[in-house]
Amino acid sequence: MRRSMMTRWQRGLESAVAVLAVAAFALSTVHSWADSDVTYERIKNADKYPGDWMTYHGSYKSWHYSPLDQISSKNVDKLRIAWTHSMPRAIRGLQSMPLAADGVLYYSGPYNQVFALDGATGEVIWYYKQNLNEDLVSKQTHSPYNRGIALGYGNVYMGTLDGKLVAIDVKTGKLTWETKLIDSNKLTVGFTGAPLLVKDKIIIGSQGGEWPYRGPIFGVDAKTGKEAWKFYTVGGNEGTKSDARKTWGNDSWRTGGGGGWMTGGYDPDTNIVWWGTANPAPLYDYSGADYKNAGARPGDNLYTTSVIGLDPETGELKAYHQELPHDAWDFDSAVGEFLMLEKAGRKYMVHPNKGGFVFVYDRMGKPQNVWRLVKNINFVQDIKPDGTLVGRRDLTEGDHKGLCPFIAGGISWNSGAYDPRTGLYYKVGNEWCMDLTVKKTTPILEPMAQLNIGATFSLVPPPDGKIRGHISARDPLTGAKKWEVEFPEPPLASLLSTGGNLLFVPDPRGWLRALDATSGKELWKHNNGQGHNGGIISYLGKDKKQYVAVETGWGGLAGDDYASLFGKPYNSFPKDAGTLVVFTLQ
Amino acid sequence: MPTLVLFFLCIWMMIALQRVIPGTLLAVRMQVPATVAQPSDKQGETSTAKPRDPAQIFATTCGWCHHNGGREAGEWPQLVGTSASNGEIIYRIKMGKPVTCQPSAPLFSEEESTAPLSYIGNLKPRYSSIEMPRNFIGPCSTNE
Repeated sequence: MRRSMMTRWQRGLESAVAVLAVAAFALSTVHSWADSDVTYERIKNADKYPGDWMTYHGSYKSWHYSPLDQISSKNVDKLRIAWTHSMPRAIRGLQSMPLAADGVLYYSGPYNQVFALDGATGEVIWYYKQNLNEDLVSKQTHSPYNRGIALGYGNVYMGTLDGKLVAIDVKTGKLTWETKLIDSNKLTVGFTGAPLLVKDKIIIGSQGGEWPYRGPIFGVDAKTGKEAWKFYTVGGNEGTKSDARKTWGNDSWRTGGGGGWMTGGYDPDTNIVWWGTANPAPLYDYSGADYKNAGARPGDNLYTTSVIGLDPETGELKAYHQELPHDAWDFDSAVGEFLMLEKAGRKYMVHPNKGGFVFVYDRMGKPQNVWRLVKNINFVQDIKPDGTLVGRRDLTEGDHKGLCPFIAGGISWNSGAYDPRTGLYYKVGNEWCMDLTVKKTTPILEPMAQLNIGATFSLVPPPDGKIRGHISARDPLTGAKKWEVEFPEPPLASLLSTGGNLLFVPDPRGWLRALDATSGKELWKHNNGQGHNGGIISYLGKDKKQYVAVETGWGGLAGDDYASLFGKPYNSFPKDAGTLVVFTLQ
Repeated sequence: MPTLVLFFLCIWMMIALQRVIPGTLLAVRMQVPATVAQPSDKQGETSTAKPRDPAQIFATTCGWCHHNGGREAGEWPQLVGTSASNGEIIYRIKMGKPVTCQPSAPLFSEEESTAPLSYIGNLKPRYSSIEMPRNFIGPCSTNE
């Protein structure tokens, strides 16, 4: 009897240990994050982490500035390539902003691929590739690029071409969760813009514009992936104070476009997420001057081509300014960083608009000033400091000559940079115009949505001379110009300013230049072999050395025109290559 | 490594437990991705029963890349004076070109896929304000 009791006791012990072992094993597989991971608090206090670049715009200030100064105007002539990394299947090149945290570099690319690399050596830590609906992707036009990722809660977050938000384990590269947000099979569009981590939410804006839907912006729980809120940039949300469907005549809000396809900003002082919204559809309207009553979409068309301020927890609309009421020219507010500045005891938010104007707001979105970055503008005569448009050039059906700027914008979607030491804002502006023929169109939704452009057009030079681009150093509040460098072809990549008195300028021909941030003098250059149309950052590797990482690769809605317009070198650029090139001091 | 140790310990325990509760199947809970179904949305619908005018289709969808109504190369080739056969044109309209050229089709009906042929065939050059070189074969050329 004693023998059988001991056997039963042993068996019971085995059971208990087994349960504990199972529990321990299960808990060890549950996704967790450590204090050393990127968090909202770390991003909010990015000044204390100068060796990192933890969010798309560098920090919530959106300066595209790295305080690092190992590389400076005194030694940049010794800058050399440290390592490179090539993305497979990089159709239309690399267009994203890399991120770096604790010596690891993360970057995304076409077809929703993501790499984690050792920031000092380029060695691959992990590779992630999304399982995409490729039949759908093949039908998209603003595709297959990806503009970037977000870090937080032990994850890398990315919006996919087929309408999902995914969370990838930052240590292993394994999928943690994915949430479908957009019915891309029906609407055709998905996500290309980088998401933004704010508190415990991931904010991401859908593609829209000339694609006829309502351009939602989403807030998603960063831990669970559950959709927390959605804000319709077209017409606002029914049953709330934001409902603005009456600004769309003839129910045109149903196919109004909108969206927020680039990454917005966040002001911790007011707890407001700022997002730039895209243009309405059809892109070109035939209303003429009576746009409030006539045409395809009568009315101001809120909240397209606006800067909107949302509560990150609820998505409630807290404030907004419509930069271009009834945008008749595709001059999105979706482009453009939200520079958070403070001067003489007052706080400002500076936001460039695609049409070539730069808006200066107070932190509740009230315009304080508007200044002109680009010379050739005639879609309006002017915009007053309070944001009022003067002398609109609304279009009717038929031919129109010399509308400026060109549909690609006086200002494009890549970011400028601000240097707190010089107090200057460095930004790319482009001088080009267009002839167009406006035509009435009907939104096409079956069997799936199609572009609704509303015109055919061609690029023409501006009235003052050749098509060109420029990078200028400006007072961000007044627009006063300190210096300017001209480029024969409009640059399309982001800029980077650093604590070493440097401005890094990646140009479309493939040259990466380092300019003296104070004077604009060229101090160093290197040709990366193909054009630049993406991001550039600086960070510390685990070896505590400063690196500058720039994305290369050419193609996109603007860049694809360059071969026919300008010839070489664009007519020999690869169409499917993208390389991350990383520099350090010799 | 601790996870691995725990894993084998777990397996051993599972085997041991089988002796106590025969037939028991212990399912180890693994982290699985959460997929949240997309909430349904209302959206406007536009009836498109009648075949669309090819010039209107062009202004709606094609004109972004085929500049000046197809008279100039942009991102996509110039169509006026094209040497592509009717079959090649219809194929491109329906299928686009893999990898470098996103198609608008098969978003068109069979009738609409052929209607642009007459539009393209009747295209005449029309020069914009200042003539620009337009001799590039774009990424979606049928010659590539």
